[in-house]
Amino acid sequence: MALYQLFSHPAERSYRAGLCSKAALFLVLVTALTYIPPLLVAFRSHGFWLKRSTYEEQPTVRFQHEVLLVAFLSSLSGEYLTWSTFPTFNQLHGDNVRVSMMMAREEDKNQDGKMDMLHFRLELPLKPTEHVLGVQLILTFSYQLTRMSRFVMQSMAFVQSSFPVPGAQLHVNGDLKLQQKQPLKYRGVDTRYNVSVINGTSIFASDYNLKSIAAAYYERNVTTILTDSNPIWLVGRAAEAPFIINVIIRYPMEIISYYPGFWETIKFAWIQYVSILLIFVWIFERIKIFVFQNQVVTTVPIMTQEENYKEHLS
Amino acid sequence: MPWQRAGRPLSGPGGSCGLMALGPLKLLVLPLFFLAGDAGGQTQPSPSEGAPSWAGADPPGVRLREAGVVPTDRLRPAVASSFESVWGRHFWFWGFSDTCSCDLTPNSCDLNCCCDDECYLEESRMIFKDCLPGSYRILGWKCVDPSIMFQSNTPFHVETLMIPDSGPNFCIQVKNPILNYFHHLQKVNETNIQSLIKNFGGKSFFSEPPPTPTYSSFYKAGDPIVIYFPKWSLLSLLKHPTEIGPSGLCTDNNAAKFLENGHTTCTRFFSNLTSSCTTDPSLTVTSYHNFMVLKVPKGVIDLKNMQVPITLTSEPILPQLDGNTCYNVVSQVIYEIETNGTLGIQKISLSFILMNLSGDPGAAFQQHFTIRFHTFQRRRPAVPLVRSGNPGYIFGMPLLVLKGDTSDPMTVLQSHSDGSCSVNRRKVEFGVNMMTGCKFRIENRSCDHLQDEIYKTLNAITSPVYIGIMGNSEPSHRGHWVKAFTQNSSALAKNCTSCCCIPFSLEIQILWAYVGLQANAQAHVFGGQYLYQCNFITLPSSVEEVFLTTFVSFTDITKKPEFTKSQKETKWASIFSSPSHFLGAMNGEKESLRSLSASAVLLCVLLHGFLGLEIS
Repeated sequence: MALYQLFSHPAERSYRAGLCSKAALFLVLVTALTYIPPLLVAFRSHGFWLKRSTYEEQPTVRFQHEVLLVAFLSSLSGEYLTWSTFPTFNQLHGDNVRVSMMMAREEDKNQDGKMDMLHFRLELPLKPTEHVLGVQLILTFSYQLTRMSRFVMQSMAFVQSSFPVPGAQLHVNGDLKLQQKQPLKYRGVDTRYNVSVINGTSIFASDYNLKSIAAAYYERNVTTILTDSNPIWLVGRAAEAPFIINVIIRYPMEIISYYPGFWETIKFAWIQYVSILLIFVWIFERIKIFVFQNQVVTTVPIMTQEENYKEHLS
Repeated sequence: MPWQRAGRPLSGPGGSCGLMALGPLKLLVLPLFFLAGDAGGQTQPSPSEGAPSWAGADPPGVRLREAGVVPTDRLRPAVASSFESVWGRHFWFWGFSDTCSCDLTPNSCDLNCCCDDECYLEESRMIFKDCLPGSYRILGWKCVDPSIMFQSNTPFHVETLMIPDSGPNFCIQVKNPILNYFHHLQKVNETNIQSLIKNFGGKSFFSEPPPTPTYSSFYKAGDPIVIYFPKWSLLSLLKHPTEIGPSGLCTDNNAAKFLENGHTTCTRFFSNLTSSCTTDPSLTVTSYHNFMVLKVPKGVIDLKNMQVPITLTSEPILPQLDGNTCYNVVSQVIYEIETNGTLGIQKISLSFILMNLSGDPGAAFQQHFTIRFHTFQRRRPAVPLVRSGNPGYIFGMPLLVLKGDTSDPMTVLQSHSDGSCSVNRRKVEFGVNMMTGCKFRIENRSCDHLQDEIYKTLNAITSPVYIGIMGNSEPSHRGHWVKAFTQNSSALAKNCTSCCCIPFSLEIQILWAYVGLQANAQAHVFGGQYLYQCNFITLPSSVEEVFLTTFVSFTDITKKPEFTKSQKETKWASIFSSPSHFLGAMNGEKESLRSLSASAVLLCVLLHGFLGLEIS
C-alpha cells in the first residue's frame, strides 16, 4: 500500500551554552545586526519621519458681503470711480464715489450644507461720457476648514483687470483656491488669520489703501486667491447703461497639507522599519540555523520532544 | 466588523452560496453597507448635468411599481444613468413629479417642461430635446443580482426590477425624495424674528451701525484728535489731508493720528480755477485754523476750558483772483503740536507756504501737509536728523559719507528725463546693489577739463571719500569713518599724444559685516573702493556723447561663528529629532527626543518578543 504524507509539524531543537560563551556572544551580535541596520537603512533612505501629509476637504466659505470697487475711467488725469460697503471709505473718496447696485447669492448645489458657489453682480452707473477701462474689485470671505485642525480665516478674492477699449461688462468666473506657504496643524484651533482683510471700522485713509491691504494679506502664510487669469470683457455700452461686473466664484474641494501628528508619524516610521526588518530577520534566522546546526559555535543541542519521550520511557 | 464580512461574498466568486449562509443579521446590514458606499462621495446627478435625454432612443422597459406612493400614470420612468462599483450597481430612475415646477406660464406650453399638461404630448421626448429639472424627480436604487440577495427585512423599499441589458435585479430604494420632507417648520413672529435672523442668517449687505464715539480722558498714540468749531458749535476731528485712490487726489476726511508725525503730498484738481479760487476751502488759509483743538478727548464735557486755539506764525492772506491766476493759494500746511503726556495737547501752531496758481481754466497742483508733534517746551529742529541706524546700518537707509564737516548720504549720478546726466543725484541705500547711468556730452573740451567734469559727474565728492562705519557715525569723530580706496583702471594704454583717458564708469564696492551679538547683530561697513574704468578717446572726438555708468555693490564679509556650522552638519544625531513640528507641542525638544528614542527601543524589544528569538 502506497503511503502519503498526511501530516507534518516542525520539531524544535534547543542549543544550550553558557552565558559567557562564544555562542551567546554570537547571538547578541546577530540580534544587534538584525534590529539596528533596518533602522539605519530606513532613516538614510529619507522620508523616515513623515513631515507633511495631505487631506481633502471642501471648505466652508461664506461671502462676507464686503465689497470694494475701483473703476478706472478713460482719461489722462487718472479719473476713477469707487464704491464700497465701508462707509468711511466712501466718505474719504468724496466725489469719486458712485453708489452702485450689488447683488449676491450663494448656492449650495449638492445640499450638503456647504456653499459651492457665489453669484455676484455689480452695476456701476455711468454718465454717457464716462468709460471704464480697468477694474479693481475686492470681495471678502470667511473661510473655514474643520476636518483636521479647526482653521478659520478671513480671506479675499482680488480681481484686477483692464481692457484697451471702453468696456460695458466684465465677466469673471473662477475658483477660490487655497494657497499655503506652510502646512496647517493636525489638530487644535487656528485663528491666526481670523482678522478682517479690510479694517472697516477704521477712520484713517491708510487702512483703505489697496497697496497696504494687499501687502498685509499676502504676508500671510495661508491665503486664498481667485483663479481666473482671463476675465471676459464685453464692449459697446449704451449711453445710459451701467457698467456691469458679473462674478462667479466657486468654492472647490481643496487638498490641504498639514503637519502629521505624533502617532501618524510613528505609524509611517513603523511601517518602513518593519518592512525592512522582516528581510533582515529572515536572513539572520537562516544564518543562525546554519551556525548552530553545523556547530560553528560550540553548543549542546537537545531535541525537545525526544527529551520528553525519553523522560516518559524512563 | 460585521459589514465587512457581509461585503466579501459580493465581490467573491462564490458570493451567492456565502451570503445565503449568513442569515438574517447579514441581510439587515447589507443595505447599510450600500448606504455607506453612497456616502463615500458619489456625486448625485445634479439637475443641470443629469437631465434625462430621450432623443432618438426608445424608452427603456423598466417596470417600476410604487403602489400607493405615486399615481402610476404620472410616473413614466427611465433609467437615466447607472454605473457599477464594488458596492453593487447604482441606478437613478427618473419619474415625473407631482408638482410640475417648471410650468411657469399657465395656459401655454413651457419649453422643455416635460410634465406640462398644456403641451398635450403623448411622449414629450418627441419634440423636446431635454427635460427641465422641474419635470422629474430622482429615485436612486442600489441593485445586486437576485441570486446574491432575494430578501430584505430593512425599512427600505425593495423591488425586483427589470434593468435593460442586465435582466432582473434585486434593488433597494435608497433615495426617494417624495418620502422626505423639510419638517420642523419655523413660525415667525415679532419676538423671534431677530433671533431667527441672528441664528440662521449669514452676513448680508446690511450696514452695521457706526460705533458711537467714546471720549477717553486722554489721547493715546494713534488716536484721532478732537476739534471744535465754535462758529457752528460742531465737534469734529483734526484732518490730515492725504492722497487717496489710484490717482493720488487729496481727501480732506482723513483724520490725523496723535503723536504720529506725518508728511503727505497729494494733488488738487480744479476744473475751473476762476470759480474755485476764492470759494474752495482747500485753497484758503482760514479753513486750516478756524477751529479749536481739544486738550483731551474728554474735553467735550468742558468745552470752555479745554480748547486750545491755533496760533499762526505768519499773516494769513486770502486768495485773490487776477485774470487766470489765483494768488496766495495754500501750497503747504505745517502743524506743530506740543503735547504733555496724558495732559494732552498744550499748544498748536500753524505755518503755511503760499503760491500763485494759474489755470486755463483747469489747474492741478500738489499740496503738502505736515504734522509734527513735540514734547512740551522742547522743540525739535525743523528738519530732524535721521540716522541710518543705531549703531549698525539698517538695510535700505542711506549710506553715509563725510562731506566737509557734515555727514551726507552717498549719492550716484542719475539720468534726466531725456537721458542726459541730471544735476539731481540718487542716494545709495545700504545693502542695495545699484546700477545707474546717463549720457554725457563731450562738447569739444580739453582733455583735463573733460576728465575733471566727468570725475565730478561720477562722484560728487572729491576724493578721498570717507564712508561712515556705522549708521550713526558722527562727523566729529574720526574713528567713525573709513577711507575708501580709489583706483583707476585703464584699458590698454595707447601710445598716442592726442589720446585722452576718460573714466566712463565708476564701480563702488562696499564691504560690510555683522558685528556683535548674533541676537542683535549690527551691520558695520569695513571698507570700500572706488574703481574708475577708463577708456581712451582721441580728441577732438568724433562721438558727441559718452555713456557714464555707476555700479554699487555691497559684499557681506561676515564670518559665521564655528558652532553654527557644526549644528547644521549633525545628521546621524538627528535620527530621533527630525519630526520637530509635533514635538513643539510637547514640553521642550529634549524631553520628546527621549520619549521617541524610548519608543524606538521599546519597538525593538517588542519585535524581539513577538518573533520569539530568545537567548536562552
